[in-house]
Amino acid sequence: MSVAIRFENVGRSFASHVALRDVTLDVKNGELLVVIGRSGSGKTTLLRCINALVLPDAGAVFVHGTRVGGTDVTALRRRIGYVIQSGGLFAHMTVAQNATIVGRAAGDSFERRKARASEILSTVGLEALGERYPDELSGGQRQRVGIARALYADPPIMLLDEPFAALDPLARMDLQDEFARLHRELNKTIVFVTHDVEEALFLGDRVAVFDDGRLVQIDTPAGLRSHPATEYIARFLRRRMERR
Amino acid sequence: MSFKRLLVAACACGFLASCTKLSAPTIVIASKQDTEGQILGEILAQLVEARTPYLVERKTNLGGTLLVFSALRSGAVDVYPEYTGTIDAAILHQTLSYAQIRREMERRFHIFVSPELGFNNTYVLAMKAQNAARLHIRTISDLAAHRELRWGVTPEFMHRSDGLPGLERVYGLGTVNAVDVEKSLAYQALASGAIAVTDAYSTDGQLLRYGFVKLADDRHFFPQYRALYLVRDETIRSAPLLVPLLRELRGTIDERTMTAMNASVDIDRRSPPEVAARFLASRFGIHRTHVADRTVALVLRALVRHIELTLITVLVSVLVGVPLGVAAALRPRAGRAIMKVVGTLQTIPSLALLALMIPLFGIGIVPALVALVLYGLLPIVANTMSGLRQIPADVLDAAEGVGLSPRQILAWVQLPLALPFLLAGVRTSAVIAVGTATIAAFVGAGGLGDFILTGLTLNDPRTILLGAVPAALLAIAVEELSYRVEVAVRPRGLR
Repeated sequence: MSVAIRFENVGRSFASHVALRDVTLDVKNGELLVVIGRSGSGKTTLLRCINALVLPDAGAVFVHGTRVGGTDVTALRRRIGYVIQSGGLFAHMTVAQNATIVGRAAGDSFERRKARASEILSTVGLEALGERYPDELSGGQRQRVGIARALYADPPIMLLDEPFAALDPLARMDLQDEFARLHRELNKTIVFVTHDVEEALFLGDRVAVFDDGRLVQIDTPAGLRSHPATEYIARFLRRRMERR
Repeated sequence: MSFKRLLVAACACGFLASCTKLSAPTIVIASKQDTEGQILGEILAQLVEARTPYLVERKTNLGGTLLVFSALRSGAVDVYPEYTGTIDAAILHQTLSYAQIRREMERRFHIFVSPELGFNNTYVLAMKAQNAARLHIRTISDLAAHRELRWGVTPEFMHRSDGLPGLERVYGLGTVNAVDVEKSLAYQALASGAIAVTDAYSTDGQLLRYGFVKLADDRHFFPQYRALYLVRDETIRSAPLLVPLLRELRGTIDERTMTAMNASVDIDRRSPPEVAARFLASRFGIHRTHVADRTVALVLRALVRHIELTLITVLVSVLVGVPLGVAAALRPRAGRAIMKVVGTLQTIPSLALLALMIPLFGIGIVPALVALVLYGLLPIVANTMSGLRQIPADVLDAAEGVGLSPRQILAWVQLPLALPFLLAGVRTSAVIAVGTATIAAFVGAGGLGDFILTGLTLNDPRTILLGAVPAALLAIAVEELSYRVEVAVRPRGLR
């Protein structure tokens, strides 16, 4: 299996804290990697390094073998779907306009965008709501629009930053099921950030655990359960069992 | 006459006026705000219209001496009536004879001084007749024995060396108990007893109306204020027929004639043009067919001009203010500097800001517009900035993350989301512009302020209301209209 995204000794500090410390990892083509950790553990910074919203101050990130930050970042971002927790929808645009904004930026024809809108909206189950405005949608529907927007250009890579964290438990479960299905159907490389252990173990082909900017362990859910690398991870998993 | 026809007539008048202007030299005749200045300006204007091919543009109501004089020097005004004493005190800063004044004005400013018109409109002190009789006050010297009297004097008189400070010294009055009072209010205050003594001009028609007495200047303190016209040399060169006219006016107006003309305006409520026409008819045999009073047409024209001023102001404020607001929002350091400058502009009194424009842009619509725009910027810049800053960070993060360029983010995301704030700023700015535009009349830009200014000068509430009521209604209409525009334009999804 070839490598889609590679981190090589990546470090990144902000004024108040160190977000990433010497991170090295590979994401394979077609893999769904879940990144998990407490807030402030560096997982969001890791994600933002992939689409150049953050540039590392040590080491390098490569996407399909090309170093991030060197080339046109706008073109790079259009080949990477990006979904954030709040949805980040544009309140003054309809659902269809929101979902096809990437096409508008790229100069796609109106017909092309219209056709694509009905495809991606039906992929996320919102084909009837294209003319609605974001404030007329439920939280789960808004999140689906965010995912549709990320799918517009059929990008080989998708980045999701706690996409379901703000949803109620039932809506979250629905979306997790659907997302798992989407992943199987679409065969994309996905990096998915969450702080929900259950979600991580359910969705991830592999799970990367972060603590204080360091990659502590990266393994399959089964491997993680049978061989937790540190007490921190063991505790992480135990807490989840106890809650059940 | 229907509203529509009036509007058409007003437009046609303006159009014809601007066409004929192209052919003959136009002489801009100005005057200060006082009745006498307006009559003297009007006398010369009508004389020029009757006896020469020149066109006349009237800029009456032009504020104080320094304002009009700087307008004359900058070429925005060609002629205005002035007094020898004022030239001495406010312009040349020395006491000179007429011949010396003539020489100095020519040498220093290239300004031609006309022959004297005849009368001396100097300062006098006035009291209520029965009050003066009861206290046995006939001369200014008699006031030294009555330190308890409260004086109400005009701000100009209060501070000029040939006003109150000099008077106190020469007559040994000590420091008199004086407050400053607007000219238009001083006589009412004197009549009501709120003040006992005020300064006045010797030819003031109001003195007759109230029956005030003038106190004799027994020590000859007050300088001579002999009336004459100041003309730019350049104007004389392009309009040489002015010189014989000015010579003809020499000595034609004595103190009694002037006082009577002032009284006709201030007491009998005749208009300065009408009084000037009577004078020219009796003295020069010039008969001008009087245009009937077209008050409604005049108000309408002023209203149209007022709307023009407001619209242009708002348009330019948006074109300048929105980019400034965007720059302020995107670059915090530049933003602080921009807000400081724009905020400071707003703190300058509007009248002072207008006065500052005169040396730069002369008088007329240009300085008024510049001042109005500088005044209207703050709400637009501030609202654009806060409109952009209130956009949630995650929305901008998403816009950047999905691959929009900075320009696309600004045009497709930031400006539309800031639009409701921006429009509210435009609305505030428009209402401010309607109000401030009334002051634009001070620099001859026209509009409804003309009536307010004239009414204040002539102490005529009816004339004030002719300007004030439409201005107030216009402000309300602008507020209402721009609110509707705002609602209609606001993007769906942001309601």
